[in-house]
Amino acid sequence: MNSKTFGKDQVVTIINSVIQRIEKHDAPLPDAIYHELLALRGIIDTLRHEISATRPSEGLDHFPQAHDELDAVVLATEAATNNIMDACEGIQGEIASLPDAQRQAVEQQIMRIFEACSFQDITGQRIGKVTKSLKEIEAKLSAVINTISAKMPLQEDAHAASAPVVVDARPDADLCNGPQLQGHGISQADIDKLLEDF
Amino acid sequence: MSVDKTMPVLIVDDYKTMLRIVDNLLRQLGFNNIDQATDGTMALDMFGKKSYGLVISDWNMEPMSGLEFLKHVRAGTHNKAVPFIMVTAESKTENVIAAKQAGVNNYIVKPFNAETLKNKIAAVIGPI
Repeated sequence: MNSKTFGKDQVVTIINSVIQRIEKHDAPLPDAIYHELLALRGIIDTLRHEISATRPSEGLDHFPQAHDELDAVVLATEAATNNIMDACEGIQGEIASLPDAQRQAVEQQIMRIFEACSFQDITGQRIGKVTKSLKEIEAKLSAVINTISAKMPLQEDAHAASAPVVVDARPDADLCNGPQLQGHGISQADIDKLLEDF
Repeated sequence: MSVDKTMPVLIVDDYKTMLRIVDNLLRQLGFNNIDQATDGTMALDMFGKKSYGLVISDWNMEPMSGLEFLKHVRAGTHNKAVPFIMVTAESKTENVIAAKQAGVNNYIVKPFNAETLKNKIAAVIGPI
């Protein structure tokens, strides 16, 4: 398997191509579909290898799920952020007896640190979006493999344990997109103007 | 007339670090009666048991989002007109419109600073 990096769009394109072929009456030979599924599985395995490369002491038969690794990142940043805020609150306690001007100057800097700590919320949401996409891809891949294996025997064990289909049942799920990339969301000033014009 | 800073404030966010940040910023502003919830369902339950003077809520939470929480508040009979500020990373125009249509009083996009939070709260409940 080559080490080419595959984007989510490429994976989705391949999945859709496979599904379209299955649905066509004039479906091509099973071998072509089978090889596309193998390629998809290879992409997922490569992704897991790359993400878990920071844990070289683990054996090759214990690769964690990609989304578990990303969840671990969120937990680690949360712990670090809490440590930072603990230290800030400690400083706030220590400066209580300082002259007003000095105390306020230090508190202002502490406030900046608290504001900056909101990075953990933003990065956590971005990672959450990636995790959600990975789960969707893995669920779709499992569904395709299960459909194919029901129609024909595969040449090797596909390890197609059915992944649960992720369904967001919230009524406003289409509005829950998380932080936008630069240039794709509107600014606070734009929001203020929008609310004024309402 | 200055704002009563002893009034109960409800802050809602599924990220505990964000709850801690907002709590700290509110205390710096002089508010000291602050309750926390980690999603809309928990917030709705708490909201029904106390007369909050201000709600500051995130949007993207599960199982109940901040928007659904807001809709429930506005549709209910208990304290339905409570000042409600959405503080969220959702920054699309349609989000702001949906929130306004649901009855939000102000909308802050993350990341934000203490000055913005203060100004947006003051715009809703009066000078702090």
